[in-house]
Parts: sequence; C-alpha cells; structure tokens
Amino acid sequence: MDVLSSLLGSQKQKFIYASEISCLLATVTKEKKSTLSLSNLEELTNNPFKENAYLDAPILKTITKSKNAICVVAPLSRFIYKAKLETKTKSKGIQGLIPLLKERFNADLKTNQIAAIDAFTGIEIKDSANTVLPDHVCFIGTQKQEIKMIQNELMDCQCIPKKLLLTTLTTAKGIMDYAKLVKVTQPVLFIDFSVNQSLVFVLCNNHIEAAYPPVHGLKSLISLTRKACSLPDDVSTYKYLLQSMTEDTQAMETITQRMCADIKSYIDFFEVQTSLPIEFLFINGLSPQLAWLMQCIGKVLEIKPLQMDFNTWLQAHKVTTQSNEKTTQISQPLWIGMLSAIFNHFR
Amino acid sequence: MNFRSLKLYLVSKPHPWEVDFRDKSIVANSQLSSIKIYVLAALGILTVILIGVSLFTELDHKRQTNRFNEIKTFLDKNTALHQQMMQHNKDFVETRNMVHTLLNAYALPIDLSEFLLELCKGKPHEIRFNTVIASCQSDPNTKVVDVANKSFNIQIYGIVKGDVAILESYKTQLLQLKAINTLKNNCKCFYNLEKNNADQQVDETRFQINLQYNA
Repeated sequence: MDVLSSLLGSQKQKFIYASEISCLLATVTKEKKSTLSLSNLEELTNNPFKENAYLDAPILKTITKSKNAICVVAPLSRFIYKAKLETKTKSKGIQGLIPLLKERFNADLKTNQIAAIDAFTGIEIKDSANTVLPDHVCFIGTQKQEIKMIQNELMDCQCIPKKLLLTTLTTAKGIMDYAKLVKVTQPVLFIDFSVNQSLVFVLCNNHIEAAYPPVHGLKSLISLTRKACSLPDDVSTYKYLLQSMTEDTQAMETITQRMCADIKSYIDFFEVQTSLPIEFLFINGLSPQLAWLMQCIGKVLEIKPLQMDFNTWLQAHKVTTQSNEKTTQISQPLWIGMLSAIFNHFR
Repeated sequence: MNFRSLKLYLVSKPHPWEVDFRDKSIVANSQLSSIKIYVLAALGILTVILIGVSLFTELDHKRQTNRFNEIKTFLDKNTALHQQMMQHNKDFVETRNMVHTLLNAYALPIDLSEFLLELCKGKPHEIRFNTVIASCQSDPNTKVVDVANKSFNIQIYGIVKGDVAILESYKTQLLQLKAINTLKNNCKCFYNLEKNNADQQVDETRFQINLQYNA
C-alpha cells in the first residue's frame, strides 16, 4: 500500500505519541517535493497515576478506530543498556548476547522484549546466519507484559498500530538528528524522565556514547516534595510540582539533589573515560509545566539545556502546518519525539 | 530497474534508531479478526442476497402456481362447455348438410308438384307409372347453388300396355308440359325399354323415361 501511494505521489500517515504525561496526535501527508504537511494536531494530557491503564479515557476516545497508526509509547519498565562487545562474545553471534544481558544487566528475555541495536548506526541487529555484531551494542527494551497491556488497550479502542515505538529511542534519534543538522559535535546528556525512573545516556556524533543506570523518576520527586512541603497526598503534590514549584527554588534544589548527585557521578565518569566534556542537557518526557526541572538540573550540573531552533529543524525537513499557531504549538521539546518519528518514517 | 533493485524498493530499508515493539501475535489476531469481520460481512451480504433470490423465486413460483391454477380452473370450467359447443358445431354441420341436401333436392328450376300434376293429367291410359324420381346434381357440402342454373334429372319408371310406340309421342308430350316449357331448349327426354321382361305373357313393357336438364 505504501508503495502504491508513493507511486501515486502522496503518502498519508497518522502518528500517536503517547507518553505518561501527554498524548500527541498528528496526521502527516507527504506531498510532492517531499513536503511534510502536518494536520489534525492535538495535545492531550495523560494522567500518570492510573493503575492497570496506560491512557486516559478521553485519549482513547480520540484515537479510536485509528488503524495503521504509528504509535510511540512509553512503558514504565523501559530500559536502555549499552555494552562494548568483546571478541569472544562477538564470535558467538547474536546468541552470545543472551548471557551478556542476563549476567551484566539482569535482563531476562522471557519477561522482557529486548532489541539489540548498533550503538553507532542505530540499525537493529537481527538474528540471521550472516549477522556480524558491532563493537558497541545498545539493548533497548521493556517488559513484555506492559507492551501487551498497552497494545491491548490501543486495540480495544480499535487503534491498530502499524508500528509500536518507544519514546526514548525516537526522542534520542530526534536529538541526534538536530545535533547533526546544527553541527553540534559535543556530547549531549539525555535524561528520559519517567514515572518510576529516569534513564540516563549520552548522545554524541549521531550515536549513543554511553548509558548509565536509571536515576530518580517522577514518583521519587513527588515523594521528596511531599515530605519537603508537607503535602497531603501524591495527586496534590503532583499538582504542586506542575503549578507552584517554579516559585520555590529551594524546594526544587532539595528534591533534585539526589538525582543530580547520581547524574553528576555519571558525568564525571564519562568525562574521565572519554575526555569529552558534556556540553548540553536534554530531559525527555517533560510537559511545559515541568520544564523547570531541566533548568534546575542544568543549573546544578552546570550544563546548558539544549535550546533547539525548531524553525531550522522543521525547515530542514520541509514541514508545513495549517497555521503559524500550529507551528508554534509543535515547536517545543514535548514534540521532539513525535517529530523525530515522523521524520524517520518519511526519510 | 532490474528485479533485485525492485525487490529492494518493495522491501523497505530498516529505519535506524527505530525498533518496532509490537506483539505481532496480537496484531495478527486483530488482523485475523478484521478478516473474520470482512468474511462475515461478505457471508452476511451473500446470505441476504440468497434469501432475497430465494424469496423472489418462492413468490414467483407461488404467483405462477396461482396463475396455473386459475388457468386450470378456467379450463376445467370451460372444457365441458367447449365440448358442448363442439357437439353443437357438429350437429350444426350435420343439420346444415341436411338442409343443403333438402334445399338442393327441393329447390329445382321447375315446380315439381305442378309437373307431377300435369304428368298425371296428360298421361295416356296405356301408360302406368311406378316410380318418379327427381334428383339434382349437387354437392351437399357446397353452398346451395342458384336454382335457375341447377341441373336435374327426372326418372319415370312405369309400364306401357300394348304398342310401345306410344312412348315416342308421349316423350314429345312431356316436353310440352307447362312446368318444363321454359326449359325445353336444354331439356332432353329419352326412354329405355326393359326387354327382359319377366312376364312375357302379358302385353306390357316396362320402361324408363329420363328427363334431363343441363344448366
């Protein structure tokens, strides 16, 4: 069908980017001269405190009957590991990666769905006879049960995904794509902020340079804020984090102290190991109300938050929207993962 | 474009930094469900069409049966009448033939009663008549022919006593009869004597006079 529509000159694709705190929708039409026309842009809020559910009812109602949509999701159990493969492991082929996962990262293939990708090219390593393993491999995955739950939830509202991608990887790809475009060669510290934990890795020269164990997530910050500010419950604390935290600089530093200390140790380790100073910081998964977190962590770690020039990026990919307001709407860090998935699909 | 490059075009290249985490079995089931839905929908439509065709056939059959019954009833009702009519027709044809025969027999160019009367009046006493037969030449199945143009034959059988020469003069007398006077130009009269008379002792001779008229 794609081949047929590409022969006809235009392709239409629906995209759903559903993270823990928001859900973004877009319909993209690839027109002649490779222009990407974005329409039906929507931004819906998702409640991260649901149990046994991933998306809010209004979101499910909106995305219902979206067949063949490319869905970008953020399972809470998602992870990313990086490993340098020894010659011995490489010689065993892809089967050699299984004990490595088990021994070094305690990741079980029975309970987790894991993909191995080349850390430099980003190409997925498939199990075939003539597969040559690269020197640096990234393992990205999530719990099978959670993927199943999300997929069932989507399919219950007749939203049949054409692809089911992870926000972590699509956003990281977006950052790498932008860095390549504006010729940023310095390492970027990428934090994938999530409810239970935040993944930490370093992007450099269009590849994943390093990945570290997860640090505090939203729940830990809520717990710390609740104690620091004497708030009654988690929901009201979350509201406080979204609405009033910007005014309380001291509380901000207090709750991020542990998180920053962990990240600092990774930065130091990275800089010692590679002799490359980390220049930029990017935190994925933050709604505009939580944007203060990137400023706060950047300030503590003395790293500049990556300020993206969306006009340059959108122009480079020949993106058009129906109005300037819509262009402004998508020109914010929340949309990076979505835009990256779009660009990667229509590349 | 050779086959290899076509194949490469159709099988899209892997996207870097993109991993599809779909549980293929769930998607496959869903697609199978979609296929099931389409198949069920198609079967449903087919069933509706078949029921429609079946109902139409049934109704048409019922309509045809009703029509057939109507025709059968009509035929049953009218067969007796038809047969009666056919009998009437047959009777009519027979009656018509009889009427034709009678008309042909009685409708002669001459008045037969007057002829017989004159025949009896002017008869010599030596002659006795046995039989007078008047017949006309006509087909009973054809229409009644014009009386004036109708041929006829009158045969008179009788016995002559004494000399048979009297018959010669009587023959001329016959042609003079008023009843056939108008026809005498075309009228022929001749007689035959029956030589082998059974009774030789008696001076009587049987004869036959033929009076023929040809129109």
